Amino acid sequence: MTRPAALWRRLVASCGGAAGLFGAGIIALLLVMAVGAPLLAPHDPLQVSIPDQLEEPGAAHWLGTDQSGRDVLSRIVWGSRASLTVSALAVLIGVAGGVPLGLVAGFFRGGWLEQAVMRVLEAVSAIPILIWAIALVGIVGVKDVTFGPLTITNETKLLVMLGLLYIPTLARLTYTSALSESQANYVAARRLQGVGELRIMFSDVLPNCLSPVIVQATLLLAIGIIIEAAISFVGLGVQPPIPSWGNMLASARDYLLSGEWWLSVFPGTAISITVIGFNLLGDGLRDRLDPRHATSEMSR
Amino acid sequence: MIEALSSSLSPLCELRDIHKEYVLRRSLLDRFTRAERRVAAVDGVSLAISHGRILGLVGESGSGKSTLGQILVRLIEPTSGQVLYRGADVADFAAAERRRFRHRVQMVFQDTNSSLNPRKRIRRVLSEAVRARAVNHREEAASIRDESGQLMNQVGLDAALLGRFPHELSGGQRQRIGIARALAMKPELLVADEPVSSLDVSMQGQIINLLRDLNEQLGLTIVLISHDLAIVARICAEIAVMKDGKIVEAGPARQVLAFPTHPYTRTLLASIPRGLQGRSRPCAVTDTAHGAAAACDRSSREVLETELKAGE
Amino acid sequence: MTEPLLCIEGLSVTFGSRAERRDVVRHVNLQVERGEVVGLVGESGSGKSLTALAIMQLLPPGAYASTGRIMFGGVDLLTLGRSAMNERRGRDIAMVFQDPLTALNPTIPIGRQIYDCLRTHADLSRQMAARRVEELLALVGIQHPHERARAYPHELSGGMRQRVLTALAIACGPKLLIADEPTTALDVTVQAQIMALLDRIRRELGIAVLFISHNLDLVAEICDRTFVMYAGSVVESGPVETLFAAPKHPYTRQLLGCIPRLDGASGPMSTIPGMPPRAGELPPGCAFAPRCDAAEPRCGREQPPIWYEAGDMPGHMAVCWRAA
Repeated sequence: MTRPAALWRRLVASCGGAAGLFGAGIIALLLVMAVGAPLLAPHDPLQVSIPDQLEEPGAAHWLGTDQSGRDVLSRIVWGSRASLTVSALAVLIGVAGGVPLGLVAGFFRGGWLEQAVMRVLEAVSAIPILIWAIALVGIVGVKDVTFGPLTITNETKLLVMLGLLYIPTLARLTYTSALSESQANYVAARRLQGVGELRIMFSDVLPNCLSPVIVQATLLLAIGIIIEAAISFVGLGVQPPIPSWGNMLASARDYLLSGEWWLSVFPGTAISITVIGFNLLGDGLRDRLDPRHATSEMSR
Repeated sequence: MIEALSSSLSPLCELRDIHKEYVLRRSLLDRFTRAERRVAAVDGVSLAISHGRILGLVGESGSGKSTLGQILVRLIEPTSGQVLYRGADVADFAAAERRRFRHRVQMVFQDTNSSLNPRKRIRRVLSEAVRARAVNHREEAASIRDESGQLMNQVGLDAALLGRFPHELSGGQRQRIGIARALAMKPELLVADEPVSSLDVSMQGQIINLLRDLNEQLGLTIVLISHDLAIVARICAEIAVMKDGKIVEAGPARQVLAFPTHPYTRTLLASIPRGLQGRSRPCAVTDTAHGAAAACDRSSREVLETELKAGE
Repeated sequence: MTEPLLCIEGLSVTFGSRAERRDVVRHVNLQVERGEVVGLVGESGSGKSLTALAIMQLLPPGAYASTGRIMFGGVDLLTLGRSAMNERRGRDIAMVFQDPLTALNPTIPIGRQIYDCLRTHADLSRQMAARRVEELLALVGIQHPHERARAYPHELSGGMRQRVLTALAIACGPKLLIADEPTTALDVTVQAQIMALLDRIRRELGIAVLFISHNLDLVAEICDRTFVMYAGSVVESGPVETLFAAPKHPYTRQLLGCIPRLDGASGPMSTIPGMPPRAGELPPGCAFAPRCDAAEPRCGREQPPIWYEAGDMPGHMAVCWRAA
């Protein structure tokens, strides 16, 4: 097999199949778009130009202009930043908070710690994320908060909130793995070597809990995109004029039936493609990570 | 009274009246009404393990042999009773002594799939063990490598396997790594909990012969926990038969297997399939001088009734 | 000569697509006569369980029968559609699995599970089916069948569960019972009881049994004939007495030599060095040659021929250059 062909096969395998690779490709494009927004966007997304308003997609504006004459394509490109930042940082918070909680609850099972942690998490996760999100944003408000030199933008509030809401899911996932891995004989063997409990928990049990977390994190990235869009759609998220796919959809609401289809279709498509990409990648990773250590058919 | 005679006469490890109870979990309501139910996994066991010998601990599921093995290595604490190591009560050990004790008593587990961390290569498994033993002074990387190589040699494995992951090895190879990992701690007592039950018959000999060699060459004391009497008969000098948490019979292996006194031991022996010799058609139960009864309908019906009663 | 009840001809079970094809069962021939107990022996990876699952058309996803026929009652089971196979399963061929806990539905009392099976396959009224449930439970040696029928699987011991599974299997009077390692998960005392039960069922009901096991002693005790499998194909077969007393294939002989005996010699236990080949990675020539203690140079080059014992009965057979 030639080298490029061999590399290609490895790439496909590492994403868990062709579909996973396709999803990874979509994500990669998205990243390029978000990072390279200043270079890629043909126009300034905030540039208002009333004479050009509501132009159909054409040579000057590939995806048309909105009601203020701003280029839709540029707004979509810049809008990816909002979506990705909120989504990725939220997942980061969720992992940083959820994984240790679940790990500790699963490893030191049988005590009050496990009960306390799991019950609180269950209570939080009993309410759907979207409801929480709307409620919290409603309480906290949408204006930027300033603490001296530190400004907390609405986006930041949103992603912190989202991250906190992810914690129960990720914690529970880690908890389930930690529970069974902690009973494994290799943990007992480490105890017999005189190794301390915390050391065993981090160096032996934790690595074996990460596979489902990685898969779930990928899927949560997709959910984050949708939630950010939904929150912005109802006006509680990223505030205009900063573009986000959600608030682009919100301002397109008035034009749904009057024929300016490009105002809603393109942001909506961007959201859909991104979510599909994350889902495909997540599914592919699940296939790859889970049966990796399963015994083969003719087991020894 | 066992005084401090020469060390080869006093037992290496002694269990005195060990009990291990588990309290069954009750629902919230029951906590107020019913008394708690206890299950005795080990119900009053006293056992002496002699230096440099291989002791077989035999029993079926629920006999408590695995629990006893875990109490021996202190993975589980007994509810009551004493564990004496070299004459001293383990419960009185200070922290440093307890760690030394930990190193001296090691275990080999039954399930080869879960006895090795699936994410660690063999090299790391062994080097971690070596480092854990030399916890007071840092070992040099070179000496760790040497020692890992020696350990692989000792268990008869090619050093090339060091770079592999556990799932890339066969069950027999994984089990030998488990033994190597235990040997890295330079133990005096090795508890092998059903070490060959998950292996094919054609591979079991590798592990059993290895255990016997380690016993002969290193003077390693071994407790072999197994339900397979034939394997136990092969290498154990002494055996103890357990049922329902108690030791029902103990003594030199040859004697117990040839002249069993307890009915349970007899039943166990009678239940072993005998191959072509066992092709009995309706027959009578005979207890020959060698205690070998042919398995047949009548003896199994007796056993059936006791089993059904126990299952109520 | 009557036709055998079950006749497997040239069965191969394969995993994977054309590019990465792995044959885990390779051209297996096997026959079971009416009322006979046939043993299928092999170690892990020999393909014996997959052969049984192929008969029942219960192969795991990704596996399929790529060649051969499975003749049962004059019909090739591999050509049957789902509903036709469903009819036969339970009614004509039944299977007892290794782990009784997972083979029984944990949320339904055992009596009900047998009752449902009877009502599905046999044409019995409600009262007759209920009575038959109790008869069956008594037949498999469960005391107080009327009360026990209401028990849930987790309330019973492993041995009792296996009896229930057996009752479930013979409920509709199948002609063939496939027992896949039925005693491996049980204690040795319970194992003896279940073996006695299988033997009694065979004698009293005339059911043929395909007994699959890695335990040669069990097979020698209860079976009339045995097939020995290695690396997916049958290497030796024949009447149990001759096969175990004087095995013709080195694998059978070496395997028998590994079994520790209570009254056997002391000294190191015998082993077979090396490991069985993985599916799809077979060496040229005989699959066992690398580990065989009687191998000759040609064993590693050419497939060995099939040696038959003289005579026209299905007698002793071995696939080996040295068998003659």
